Amino acid sequence: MSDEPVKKLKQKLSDDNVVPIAAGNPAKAESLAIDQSQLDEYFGDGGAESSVAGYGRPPKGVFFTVMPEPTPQWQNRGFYWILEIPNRDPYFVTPAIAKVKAGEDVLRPLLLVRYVTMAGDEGLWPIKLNPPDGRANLYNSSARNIMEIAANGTPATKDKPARPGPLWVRLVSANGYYEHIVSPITMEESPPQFTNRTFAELVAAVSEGRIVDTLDHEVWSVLSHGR
Amino acid sequence: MAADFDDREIICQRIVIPDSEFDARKNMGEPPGPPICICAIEIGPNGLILHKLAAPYPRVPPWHRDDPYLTLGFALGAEAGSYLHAGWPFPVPAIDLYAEYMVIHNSEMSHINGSKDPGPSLLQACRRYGIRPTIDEARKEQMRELAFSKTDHTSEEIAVLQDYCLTDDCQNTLDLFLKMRSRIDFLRAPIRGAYMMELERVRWRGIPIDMETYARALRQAPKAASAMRAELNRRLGAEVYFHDIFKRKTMFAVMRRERIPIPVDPKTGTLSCATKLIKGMVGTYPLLGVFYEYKRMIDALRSLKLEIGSDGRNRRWLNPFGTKTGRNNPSTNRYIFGLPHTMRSFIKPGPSMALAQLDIGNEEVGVAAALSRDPQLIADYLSGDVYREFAKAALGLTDVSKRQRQVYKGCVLGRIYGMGAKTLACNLGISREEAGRILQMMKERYPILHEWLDRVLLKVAHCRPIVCKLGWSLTPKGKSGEMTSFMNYPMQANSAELLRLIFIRAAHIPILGCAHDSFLIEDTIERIEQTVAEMREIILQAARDLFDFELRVDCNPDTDIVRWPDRFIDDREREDGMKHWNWLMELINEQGDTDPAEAVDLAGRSRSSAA
Repeated sequence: MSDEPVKKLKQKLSDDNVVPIAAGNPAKAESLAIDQSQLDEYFGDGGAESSVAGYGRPPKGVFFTVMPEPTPQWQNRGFYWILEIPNRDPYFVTPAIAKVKAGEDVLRPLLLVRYVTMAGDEGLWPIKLNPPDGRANLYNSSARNIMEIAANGTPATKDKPARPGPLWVRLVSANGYYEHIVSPITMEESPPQFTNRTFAELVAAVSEGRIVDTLDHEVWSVLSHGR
Repeated sequence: MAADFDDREIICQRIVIPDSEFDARKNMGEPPGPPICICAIEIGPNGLILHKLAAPYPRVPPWHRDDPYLTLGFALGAEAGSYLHAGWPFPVPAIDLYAEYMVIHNSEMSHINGSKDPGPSLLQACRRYGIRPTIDEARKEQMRELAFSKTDHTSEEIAVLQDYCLTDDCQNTLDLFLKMRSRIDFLRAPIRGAYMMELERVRWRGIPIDMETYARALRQAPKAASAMRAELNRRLGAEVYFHDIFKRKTMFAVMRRERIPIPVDPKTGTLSCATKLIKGMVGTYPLLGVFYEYKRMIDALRSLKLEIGSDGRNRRWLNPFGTKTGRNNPSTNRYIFGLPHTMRSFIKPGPSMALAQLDIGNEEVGVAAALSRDPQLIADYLSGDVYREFAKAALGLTDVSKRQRQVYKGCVLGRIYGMGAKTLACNLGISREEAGRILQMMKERYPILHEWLDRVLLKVAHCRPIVCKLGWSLTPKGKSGEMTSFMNYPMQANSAELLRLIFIRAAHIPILGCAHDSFLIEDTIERIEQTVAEMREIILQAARDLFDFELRVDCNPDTDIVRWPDRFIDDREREDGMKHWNWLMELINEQGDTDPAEAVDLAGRSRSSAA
């Protein structure tokens, strides 16, 4: 072995205090066993920021939150005309075109709400609006209510004190509607990792290449001819 | 749990990074060849010492002195082979950076659908940590070629290989260690390091195979598979195999005809009759059981590739930490325990030797009882048959039928696996309402278990890591469909932690192989029962130490210990009356007649030898 690698090694070792090291004794493994009551403990940790945004209901298995909107000028939610065709990503239709195509039953206004999960995944939650005439869909109503609870908290009840929002909540499917579970973890204990992107930027990320702003867009042909 | 904190740490003033060059004889079923050289970097208070050794090796390594030192390596199993050749004891404590990489990066390597990326090579791990390796792939290949292509190396060639050991593997391992150091759990890493080396000892021993029968099976596999396909078509009344090609849609038609629900593959969302999906249904639908057994046998015969050495023993890398639960993940067609249970009867002890299989009984339920501390589940587990106890209580009977037990077994396991009423009803052939009712009864009987499972899910919903007893962990990614796969994660992953502890404590027991919850051991006919008793006590003590709970260890001396000239028989095959094995023997008979020496009675004894 030439001297050069040895010199490098010596330099490296003088830079790093490698020893002494306290290592576990495998013969005493029983004293190293981790108490499983850690299942009741939570640890906050940071994570990488995503450059993409999801579109859809927050995953049911995970807690998420949304931003409150204290002023009438919403910053993190908005109404959009969305055209949904099975097995295709949604199309964002401009209001002028939507007015012309109002008769299409797959075209409807949705409330898009910015959410982030505890894992730091950010997305837009499309909440369908109940039609002004006709029966309310309980999935739509409950989703909207849960979104408001996530943003603004829960009022005091006979049994529980009020919890101000925003809160970490989780969706649970019930029979024909959504229930929700509120996490005991507070926003201080586990701050939501919303990215620095604006709501408009999120919408732009989700709608990129899927904006319908003309009457000769290919999507109308798909709807007319099934292709 | 014993809590002797005084000596749970070993203060090491030196670290030693050994590396050796040898012919690994990869994929050949042989133990690794003897080391051409063994080298090491030793770092201590007195600076740096480089060790270069070649055969003959000293009785103990030159760095092994009175004071404790930490051994570091990447995939220490390779070095373990050289230690075994040199007759050196395995070093303690030792940290394997491959194992630590798998621990640290388990979450990023695991996918929601259950698969996991393969473990890295040393160079890949170095790149992951931004280390520029000191050697490129071409040079590495050149050195491998030099090491593997011959056995009579000149002193100059040995010197080249020694320099390569020190400047390549040892130095890259040191660089990697310095980068990974802040993320390593030094208290528990030596348990994994010891496990990695013990696994190599197990692989080294190998599993004895009845080579005459296996060789015939290999020669006759196409003929046997063809006969099985024809028979399966006949039994199902449809050509599910058409010109030797499996026709999934035909199988769907058979299932619809027989009113058997077709499962949906959770990965693809499409209908599927994959054996792993229908496994839970075979007890309910006998025809599906026929399909399950035949299909697995046909698939195994099509790709029978057991790696067997010249001594007739099956040796295969067990791919430690190869799943997200930290279980081993060996090949399904190169390792005998990956084959259908019928084919495990290729295992046969040599003259004057005996084999024993020890199972941890209902391990996942036992671990669930231990972790949740549900008193009723603990009591039912300790009764010896948790499913029967639950069924008896639920039905208000003093005893229950096999079918009733099976339904309640499906419910207990199903709940732990996160099944809902719909899947359970599908698997058990009962109505959704009935499945829901049984699940509710289970919730009422084991309320503490349910609360504990809910807490696990709550933690998953918060995307917090689930950390097991010895530090293996997995962090949820917050994606849809993740909760179900996390439901039994604490049971499976903690069982894997237990297995590791058993392995390092049973270093002196001749373990030949293992499945997730069972061990195959070998000893002389005279000593086997004593060795079984010793192994049983090690398993029980390890469970007591990890879980403060005594799991059950099953080893029936009449059925689970086989002595030459008998062959190994898996319990399920025995329960089936050996019919699959006996039929396989008929099919591979080259003379066209049943060879009486191969037909086996229920004791696993071939009829001729019994006579």
